[in-house]
Amino acid sequence: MIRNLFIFIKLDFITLKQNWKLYLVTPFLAFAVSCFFKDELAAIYFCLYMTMYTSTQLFSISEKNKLDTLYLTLSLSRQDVVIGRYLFILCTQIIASIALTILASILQTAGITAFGDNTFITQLIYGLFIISIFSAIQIPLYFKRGVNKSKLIIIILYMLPVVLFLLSSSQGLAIINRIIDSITNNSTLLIVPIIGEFILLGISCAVSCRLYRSKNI
Amino acid sequence: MNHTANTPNILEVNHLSKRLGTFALDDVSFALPQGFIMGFIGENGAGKTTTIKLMLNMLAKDKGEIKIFGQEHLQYEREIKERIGVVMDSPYYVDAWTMLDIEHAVSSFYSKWDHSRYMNLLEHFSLEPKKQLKALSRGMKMKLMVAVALTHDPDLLILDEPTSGLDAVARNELMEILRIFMTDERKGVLFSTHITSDLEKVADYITLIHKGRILETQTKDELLEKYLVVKGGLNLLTTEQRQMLIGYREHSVGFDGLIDCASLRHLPTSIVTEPSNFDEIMIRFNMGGEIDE
Amino acid sequence: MNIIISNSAGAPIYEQIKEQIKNAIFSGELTDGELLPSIRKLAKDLQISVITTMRAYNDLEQEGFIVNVQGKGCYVQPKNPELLREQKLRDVEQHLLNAISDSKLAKISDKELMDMLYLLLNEEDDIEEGE
Repeated sequence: MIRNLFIFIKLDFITLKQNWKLYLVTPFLAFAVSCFFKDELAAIYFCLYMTMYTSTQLFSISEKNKLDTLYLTLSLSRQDVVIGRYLFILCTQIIASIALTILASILQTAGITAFGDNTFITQLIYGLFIISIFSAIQIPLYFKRGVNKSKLIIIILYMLPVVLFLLSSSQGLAIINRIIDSITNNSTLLIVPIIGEFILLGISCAVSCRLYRSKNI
Repeated sequence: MNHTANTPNILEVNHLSKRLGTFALDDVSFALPQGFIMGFIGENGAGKTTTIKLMLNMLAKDKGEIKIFGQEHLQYEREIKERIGVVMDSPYYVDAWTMLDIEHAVSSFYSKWDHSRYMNLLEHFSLEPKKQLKALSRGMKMKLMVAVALTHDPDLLILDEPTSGLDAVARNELMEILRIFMTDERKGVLFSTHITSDLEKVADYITLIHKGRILETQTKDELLEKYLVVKGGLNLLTTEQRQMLIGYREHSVGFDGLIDCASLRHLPTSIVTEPSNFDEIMIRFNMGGEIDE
Repeated sequence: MNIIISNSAGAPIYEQIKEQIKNAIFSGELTDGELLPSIRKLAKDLQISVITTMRAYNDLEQEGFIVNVQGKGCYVQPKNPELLREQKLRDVEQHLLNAISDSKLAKISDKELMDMLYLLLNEEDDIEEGE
């Protein structure tokens, strides 16, 4: 059964075959972005955004080509499909993280960026945590209603932080900034977002299983 | 030498019910013994696809039991699906995939997948492995689905309207493939279609579904022997006799209809009888009594 | 052995198969102990249902013409002259009964019918002598 999960991840990769060219270009784009801003943060958010785009693309291609039917003709249960998909998303995050780490080393060795290792790792882990929040909400929606029908809700989801940001007073923002600084400067606390991400995705996965189980295909 | 007496059922559906909006499958039951082909016929919207989707867990049943290879279909879902091949009316693969991509995507799921068999089948169907799915015609897509379905040596083939939109030549080719598949007596085929001529030659059993209910499920020969087309002059029949007919149609110079052989003795002996065929049976059950001026 | 079935012949297909196999046995085209095509192969070749060929073979086994060896197939039973004669007697009786019933319908008298029979028999003898 575990074996089938890995085969499913492979299937997800093959599903995105038509986008491979895009993914090859991504590291170079990330590199270019970092050079431009002289800052790895931009590259981090660029790459992490790509992982989110990837999962949306995956669901989108899957929906357009009726892959839900394919999954149910293979020796997979609905639970396998959901767990396999989450594992695939984790894989994309791992790949992105490895690529970013290599990129950061190159940038720092080449003297293009000046940050120390510490800050990079912190930025990466919190970045992963933030996109996990979005994914945790997005993925169950995709499983239940598909990409097309979820577009409106997703837009609202992404707009929410922007709106909140715009609506907050400068005092409120200052407090939030202080909190963020104190958290991110404490490296022992790094374990929290890591565990937090797994808990979030775990709960999201359980919710997706329940939603997908009753979906009519 | 009665082969069918003790053969196990490769597929068993018992009292299956499902409500989908205004449509309902109601108490559907039938069984396919190992070693035979069952034609699943009915008009559009009768419930064939719904039944098949329920078997494959694409829809959740309200009531009833489904057993494949003698195993409960949900509890042993993974083991069962390793041994079945499914062909639908349109492919469920990414249209940008080539036939080789399809193999990469699905082959690892099957322990009995054989690369050389896949290549042989593609060659037999004149399909180029490097061509993309979207570049194939309707007939070629069907053959591709069959090739994928057959490559992992399944024990049960489930086909849901695979021949709609295909010409007689392509349909005949599929029938020939099924005949060859069935020379192994441990296999089985469930073939749903509304093109009844596909089944006339190749089916062993027929299950007729109409508006979500099973009307008949038995051997093809028995079904064709059970119903006869009857014709006669106006006023030949009493009202009671008319009600015994299925799909009674009256026109200006006579009437026709379908009758169950058991009821034939209640009709006058001067009535004209003719053998029926699947189309006739399906059409008559779909008709109410009709009067054509 | 050739088996040719006709969808419009009138007789059910399994009957046609039985007849043709029996005739092949009578004529010696199928020899004692010869292996018949398998039920499934026959169904595939004739493009008919396996149940039809099963029924034909079933009946032939019940009537003593063939025997099914588990795992190997169906073989022609050694010709039992008694059995053959009995079968043919039954066939002749049926044909005669049909002739009698038709004559009655056409109001042909018994004497006319007998005369016809003798005439035909003599013709047959003439043909045989001439060979």
